[in-house]
Amino acid sequence: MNRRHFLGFAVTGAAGATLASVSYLPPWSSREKTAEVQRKEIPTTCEMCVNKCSIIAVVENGNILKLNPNPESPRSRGMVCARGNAGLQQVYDPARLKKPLLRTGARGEGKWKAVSWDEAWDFAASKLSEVKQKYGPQASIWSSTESFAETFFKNLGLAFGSPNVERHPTLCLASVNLAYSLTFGTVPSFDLANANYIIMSGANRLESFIMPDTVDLIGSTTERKARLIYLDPRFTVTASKADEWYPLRPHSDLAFILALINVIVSENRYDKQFVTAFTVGMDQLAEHVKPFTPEWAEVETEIPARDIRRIAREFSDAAPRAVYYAGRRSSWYRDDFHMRRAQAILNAIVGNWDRQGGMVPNAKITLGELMFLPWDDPQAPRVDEMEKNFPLAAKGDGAYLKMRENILAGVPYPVKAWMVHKQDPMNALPEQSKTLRMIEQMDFIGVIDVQMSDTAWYADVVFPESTYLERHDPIEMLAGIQPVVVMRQPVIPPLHDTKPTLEIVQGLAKRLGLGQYFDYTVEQWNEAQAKELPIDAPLDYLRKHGVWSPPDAPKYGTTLTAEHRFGTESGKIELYSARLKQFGYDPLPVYTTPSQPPPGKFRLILGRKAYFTQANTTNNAWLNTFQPENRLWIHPKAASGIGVRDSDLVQVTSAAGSIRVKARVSEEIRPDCVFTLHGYGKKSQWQRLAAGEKSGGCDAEIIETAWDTVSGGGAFHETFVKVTKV
Amino acid sequence: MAERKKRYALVIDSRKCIACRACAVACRAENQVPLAYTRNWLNQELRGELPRLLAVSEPEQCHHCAQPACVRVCPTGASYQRADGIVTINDKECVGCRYCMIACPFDARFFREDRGVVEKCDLCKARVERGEIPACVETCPSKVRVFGDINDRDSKVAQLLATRQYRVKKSEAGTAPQIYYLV
Amino acid sequence: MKHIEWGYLIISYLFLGGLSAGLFFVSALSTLFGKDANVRIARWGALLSPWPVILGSALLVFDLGNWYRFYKFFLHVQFVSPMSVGAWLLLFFSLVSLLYAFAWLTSEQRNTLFARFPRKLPLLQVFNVDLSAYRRRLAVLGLPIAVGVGIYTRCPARRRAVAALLEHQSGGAAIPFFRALYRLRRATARCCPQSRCHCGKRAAPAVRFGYLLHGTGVLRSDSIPAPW
Repeated sequence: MNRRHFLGFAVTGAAGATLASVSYLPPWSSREKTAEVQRKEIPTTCEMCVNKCSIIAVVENGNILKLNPNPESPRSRGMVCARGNAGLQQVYDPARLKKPLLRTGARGEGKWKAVSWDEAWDFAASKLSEVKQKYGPQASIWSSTESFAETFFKNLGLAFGSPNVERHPTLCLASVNLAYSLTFGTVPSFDLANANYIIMSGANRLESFIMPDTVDLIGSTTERKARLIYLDPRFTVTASKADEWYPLRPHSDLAFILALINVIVSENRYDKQFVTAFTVGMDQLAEHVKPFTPEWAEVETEIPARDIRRIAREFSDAAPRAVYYAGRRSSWYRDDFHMRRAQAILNAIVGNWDRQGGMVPNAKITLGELMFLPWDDPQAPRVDEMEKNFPLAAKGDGAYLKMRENILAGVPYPVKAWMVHKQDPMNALPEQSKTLRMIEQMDFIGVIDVQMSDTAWYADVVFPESTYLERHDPIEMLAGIQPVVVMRQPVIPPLHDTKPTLEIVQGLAKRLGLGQYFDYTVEQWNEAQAKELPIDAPLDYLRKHGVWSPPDAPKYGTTLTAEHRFGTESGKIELYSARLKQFGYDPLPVYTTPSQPPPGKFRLILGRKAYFTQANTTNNAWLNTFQPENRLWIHPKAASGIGVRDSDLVQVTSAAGSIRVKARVSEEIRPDCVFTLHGYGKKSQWQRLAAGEKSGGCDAEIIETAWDTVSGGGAFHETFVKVTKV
Repeated sequence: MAERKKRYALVIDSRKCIACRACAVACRAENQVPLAYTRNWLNQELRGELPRLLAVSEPEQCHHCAQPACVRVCPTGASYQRADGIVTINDKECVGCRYCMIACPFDARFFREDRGVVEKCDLCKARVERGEIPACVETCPSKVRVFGDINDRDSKVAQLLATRQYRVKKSEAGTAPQIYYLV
Repeated sequence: MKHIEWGYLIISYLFLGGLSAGLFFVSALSTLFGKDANVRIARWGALLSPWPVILGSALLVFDLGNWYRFYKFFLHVQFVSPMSVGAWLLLFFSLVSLLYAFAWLTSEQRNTLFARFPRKLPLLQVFNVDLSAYRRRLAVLGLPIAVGVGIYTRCPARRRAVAALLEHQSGGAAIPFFRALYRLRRATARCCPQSRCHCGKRAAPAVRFGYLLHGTGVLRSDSIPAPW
């Protein structure tokens, strides 16, 4: 929207008044009033998303005024995105959690009592002990999203005796990670800065997630004239910058990839030397892809056969500087794993592995480890029965949706306690009505967060964590083509009565009789970790610079030796995976024509915006202003078919639920799909900007429960909805 | 030889702009702009029909014109142009008559109801004086904006202007705007 | 809303300014060229003339973002700024028209006026002078200023009025109409479209034609509101 509309929105709307009242900042007038200005620049690491860019906080007279990019980090490429800049709002938000809270009314009623830390810990520990006594320690789940301190939280769950650690990959990138792991033994990074030909399936890299790949992609396509082929039922920002955009039929990406492999194999365009030296299964692959001609794929994908053939040729010509980008959020379809496997295979046969402009296995920096007292491993099996249901998937992450199904059914054993860290399952899980039922079954729910999320809203006790700008965290190693070590230090002391995760965990552990396993400080933890770094006084260096990266340039080709053994069963890159076959899955990707929405219904697809991080930033006033209301994207033909015009309120109904949201009629989406954003229609009344129906519907209510068969990761694009005018 | 005068300008490559809004938020933080206002904005355009669609996103802010109409019409001299080309406002002299807002061909100025003065982008002059670049330029993931002294032949902006085609907006207004959009 | 108030304020100021200038103009002409029969016109015009513009000026001053800084108008003069020139003209006109009105008071009216002052300070009586001899001279002095007020203050004021209406977001038929009128006006301007002051230069025909096309929508504008 142009500035006039923006101003009109912000000033004249009722939203304007609300926005103005919830946008809160440190006393800005401090700059003028005090003569003596004490200005400090403190490096730290951002936590507004999982990219962990390095930032430098400008602090004047104890107020954080600005978060600047740290030019020393190769990871963040000298940038701070919209969310990073809006981190100030997280610290100074008047509605953030300021004290431990105990629920006084019914769950979801929003009645809270501010209590001391001792009271909160005592309550949580007593409830957890109760559950442990009655049902056993396995009757608890410990769910979290990635953070530097997540390891402490997970360890508490394990020390408590529960195997049920659930992490966010099972709702995000489980299928793509597993597919690449089973093919290459590891999940690589993509050297987009040097690639010349890039194909992306729905990975809206220029909009949904701002990370180094974003910078590299826009740089490569504009400065180096790298070619970008982009497949997506929706016209995203990435589509607008691509050289070719195909609004393919949803769920047909696998057909497209198989056809590319077909052309490359049948026309002998693959890297024979590479395939012979480093892969197994080429013969089976060649036989397998015979039927998948471009003509066949045209029927499935609606992409012209001649374009498929041409792209395959161009792709193989550009190899090894050609990549089929894996994507990040792969929580699309029940067979998503196989599509990612096909990608991996395609990348393998053109020989872009471990080469400049191709896929590069992540380099690491060795960190030390603090030796702490180990506990006994949990005895009971996982409640999501990973070994039985998803034997190949990453057990440490779990299978969230299967777990929920089991808990609701009471199998294989009851689960009565739920501890949550930095996660909002009410919005992260589809079919919110089931999450609410799961909540009802719990005797105890405890949440650690910085804001009153929807899940915290339904909890029994809420532990307020200090924001990332107010705490010390463990140093973290971020693997990549250029690995870095980053640290987080407080740039101001905590504004409110909040604590970092380790201290929250220690308070609980002590009262659960597990204190001896957490008898260290985060400083000691960091000392042990930093000891292995090849620099003098590493912690001092990190405190001063915020980030360290090995001075040598990224290495390519370190795995391309005869001696190297890939982390697969055969020791080679597995085009054909015997291990998959062993566990009863297709060893090579098999395509079945997917179901499409019946007449009168639409496929609901999801995606993200550059200025939001999942559901947890829609209440940030500086970011909410760019999209104060959720919208349902719908094509004009489809809209006129149901008598809907732009901004009309529509009812969107699926088998999981029904929501109301305003329509956004636009050519930017296929007529058989609709699209909506994430993080609106919140239940938590403390999130005034994103709460309630006036902010638009909550997508979590209508997405149906489905998961990828091999990894157990969520499959969120399998929902067909009916849309009617209200 | 006499020292050449500085002329700070922006060179913008809109092709790189992904409308991520980092610049808008960075400016807000750096210059303490309340939510109701903005010093920079995006001109967005969507054209066409599925599957032939075009979307462009073009950042804009005060152009720090070489012949600024806003400075010319200011009755109190509050709006002035610095020697380095940055057009800015002396808050203490501004009476809030808002005539400059009308004179500006780009609508770059806005009136601060809470302070009774007019405000606009000042290329983060405090940062520039410290040897840094404006917040919007620094924060951008795509590095859409390039900032520098176009009178310095070695600067990136001068090199871009010498080697690339560019256009300015509303040149017919005669204010000689100093934002150069690469084509 | 401030913008709406603004618009009405400016329109009313237009009216008041024009009224004062007009009254002065008529009175001055009567004084200079009129016969004895026109004395009443001259007197009434003179006595009424200062008040509308003084009221309007007061309204304008209080409309300023920082009204107590209004004196800053008179610390500078910017000849290319209609706002600056207009402010000075207003000042001069107010002073001259007040003196002129004072000059048209009869002796009894003057004495009654000064008798009304609560503090009968001898200093104030200094101002109790008979200026009737200066009527013609004041008329001559004030005429060009009145004309200037008429022209110079209408210029920024009218544009602020139109701009105020354009800024108002609630739409309605008035907005496109004023927008088109505004552009049409610029297209037919006798001065270069950019400066909007009546400096007298003719705009190049090509430029004016361009504005005409722009105003009628044949030429597309730079930016179209987009839905992102």
